Amino acid sequence: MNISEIRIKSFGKLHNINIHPIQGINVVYGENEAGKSTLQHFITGMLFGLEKQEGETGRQDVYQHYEPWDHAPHYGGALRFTMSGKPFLLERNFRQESQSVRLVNEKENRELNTEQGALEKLFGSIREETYENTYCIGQASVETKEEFANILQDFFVNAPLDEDFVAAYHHLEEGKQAAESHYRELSEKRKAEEEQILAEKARLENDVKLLRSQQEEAYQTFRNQQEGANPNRNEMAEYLRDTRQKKQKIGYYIKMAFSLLLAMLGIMAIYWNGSSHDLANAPWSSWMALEVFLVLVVALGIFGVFFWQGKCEKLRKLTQGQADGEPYPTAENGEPSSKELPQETESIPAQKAFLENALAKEQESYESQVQKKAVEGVFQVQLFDKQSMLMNLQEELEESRVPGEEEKEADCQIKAYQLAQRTLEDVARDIHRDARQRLEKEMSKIFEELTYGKYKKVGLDERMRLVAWEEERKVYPWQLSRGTMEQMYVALRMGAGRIFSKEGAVPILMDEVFAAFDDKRLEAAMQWLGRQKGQIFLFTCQKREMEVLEKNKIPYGKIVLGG
Amino acid sequence: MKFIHIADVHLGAKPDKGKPWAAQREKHSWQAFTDVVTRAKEESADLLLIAGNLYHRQPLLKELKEVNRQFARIPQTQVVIIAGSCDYLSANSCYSSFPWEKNVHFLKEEKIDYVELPKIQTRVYGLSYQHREIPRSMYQGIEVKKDNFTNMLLAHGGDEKHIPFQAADFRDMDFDYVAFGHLHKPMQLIDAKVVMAGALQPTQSSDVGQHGYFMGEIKNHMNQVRFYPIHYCEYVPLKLKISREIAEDVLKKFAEDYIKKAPPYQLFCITLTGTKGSKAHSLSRSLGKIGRVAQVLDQCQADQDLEKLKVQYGQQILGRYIDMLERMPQDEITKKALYYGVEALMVE
Repeated sequence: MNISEIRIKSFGKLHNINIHPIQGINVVYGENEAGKSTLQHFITGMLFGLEKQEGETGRQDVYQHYEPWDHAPHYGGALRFTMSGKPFLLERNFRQESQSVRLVNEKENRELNTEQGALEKLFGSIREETYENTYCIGQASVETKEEFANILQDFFVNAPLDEDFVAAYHHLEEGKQAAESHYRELSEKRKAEEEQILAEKARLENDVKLLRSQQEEAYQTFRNQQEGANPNRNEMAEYLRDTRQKKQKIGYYIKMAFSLLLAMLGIMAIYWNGSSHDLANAPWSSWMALEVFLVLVVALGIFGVFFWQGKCEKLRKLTQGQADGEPYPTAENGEPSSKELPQETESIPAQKAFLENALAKEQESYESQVQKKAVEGVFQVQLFDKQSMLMNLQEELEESRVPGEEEKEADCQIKAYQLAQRTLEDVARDIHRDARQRLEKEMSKIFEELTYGKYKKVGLDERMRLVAWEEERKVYPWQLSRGTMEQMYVALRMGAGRIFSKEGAVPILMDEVFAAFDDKRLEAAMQWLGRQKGQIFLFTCQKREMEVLEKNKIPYGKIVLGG
Repeated sequence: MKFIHIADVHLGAKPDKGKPWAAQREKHSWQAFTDVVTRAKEESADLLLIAGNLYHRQPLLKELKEVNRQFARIPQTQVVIIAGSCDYLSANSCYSSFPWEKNVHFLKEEKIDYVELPKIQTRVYGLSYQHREIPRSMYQGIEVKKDNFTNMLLAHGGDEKHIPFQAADFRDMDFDYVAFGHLHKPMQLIDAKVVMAGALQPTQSSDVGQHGYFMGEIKNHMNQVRFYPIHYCEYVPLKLKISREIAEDVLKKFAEDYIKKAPPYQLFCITLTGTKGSKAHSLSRSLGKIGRVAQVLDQCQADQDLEKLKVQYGQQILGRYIDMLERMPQDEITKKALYYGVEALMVE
């Protein structure tokens, strides 16, 4: 900032004054009560405004202190200055009732909105409080105030969140939240899908289990059939057949015994008939006829024995065949030999009905066997199908567990936002750590220069109090002479000013700062000031500063107040 | 000898799950497959080659029956199938035991086998996947019978986990035609000789561009082959460059108009590039709600000149931020973080 014109309408004892400072050092010279401090307060007021402190009276309140006594309507004035090459006009009226501030970009002839922080931006966001503890040194108050220790503490230790940082952090937070909500939406959708698949999978697994157990049963029956323990075989029919065959057998034996008896009785009758009649002497007629009849009876008996024995043999073979597991005759392996079955003991129709019944049952069991095989085949296919479905579902499940591109992108965004925020915090911390080092380095340089190398190092202790080192010894300001102490504070203020504001953003105001400096150190101070880039106002009631400046050929502007 | 070469039909695939058009997309593979069979019938093609992944997963019986019904429509066309990485032959599946039509030949072995089709004087070599992955080469050193038959290879693979190969491997082999499947992008790896059919229809939004089948003719060992697109669905990449100067609604309107004018079968994958203002997320969300937008990817990068910014803002927060992030190992996240931070610090 380079102030090219100070226009005071009415401020304390100053009325309608126009001052044209130069770039660089301006010495504001005036005798006591010429208005030097008034001008200094005017400049500060113009930069930061001037508020009337409620309830406070007396000399503490700058507003009341410089309020025009004649109640002139305009309490304030204007500053014309350039900033980064652009010309501005700043006008203020401090009067509480008609307070106003107007900032005009004179090149573009455009009024800037001061309510939206146009001024703060212009001055590099340095606060008035900070300004008054750095570049703005009031009369006899070179010592920084108690509050400054707090400011420093806040800045260096509590790592303050400067506006840029807060805005950027907030911006990142917004982005992060948006990405998070997008991610949530996508992943919830995917999770729901996954749940659905899992439910379907559980259902399918149940199906497969059921199918397996059913198939097991089907297998069981199949195996039983193969082992011959066919439960479908008509046991009742077999039982009936067996008992019938037994009866037949007994019948055959009885009949055989009867035939044998008949034959024996015949033989005995023949013998008795022959012996009771003298064969040689008996008449040929009657006993001969009886004898012939008896021989026939014997023959029948013998025939009967053989006939029934043959029947028995046949039946024995049949039962043996059944015991060996020859299938009960069915439609396929021929007609059941009704001839072999006894016709005598059971009526033909009953026999036939029994046979048909047995036949039908056998056939049914065969068919069911075929059917079972088919069912089993279907089971197998179903099982394969369900298993395939299960495999597919498993794949689908695995796929659904892999986030999609959009979800991955959102996740990546969230992580990037988090990294950005962390990095931003780290950077801010670094900047403050570095700033402290920078401040201490800067302070030390200035202090060393002002004291001609007597003190090489000045810094801040853990409570942000000024401390200098003389060799290895810690020296606090109150342990030093007034002059050296003031030089120490000047070093702090100038060093800190650089940290808190951009170089040249605000002017350096020094009101009677060098009174306690010896000539040598004043010269050093002037030399240091001569090298600064910003605009400097030295308020003084002495000519020492000007002499030193001239002696050192440092250009300066002279502003004379009063007289 | 006239042939049709398809691959990666992915019957049963369900692309664009959750999108309003998902139900339609499910039908596309079936429709496209039926179209190919119809084409084979119309053209009286001698041979239909299916280079794997006919099905998207393990086929169910009804799916097998449906495909077989289709094959029954073209009894004059010989069909040769191999199983691919998605529909690999698993032991307990109907796929391996299904009784196909007479004109269908399934090379089920997981080693090179062939089928001889004397009617068309052709021999088709190939193998099926019996596992999801075959991470080794399988097509080298195949001994091809030398006679007057046309020799073809039906193959599936092309990446690390699925029979890796180099197209040049086939240059000196005695195949008249190598019909590949697996990669979804259709391409002639060696002109009219080694051809990747690509997916018959796209199965995911990254399958951008046209999809379809190859049809060709081999006469006296001279090949002619051409790609025929099928348009049930096509994913179209749409890059939108964002900058501070273009308002969000203008960009959205542009996208809407652009999509409205496009053929109805096209679906769009929007990629946002450039830099964007603070409303970027709402933009990508609102773009996602336009009809026929399958996907919106936000790939905005810091387009500021970082070097210049670093010089300009040196020891200030922005300069240090860039510097600190550039020192980190560079990946997608750091790149994005750099962009987000620069964006955030430069917001006015």
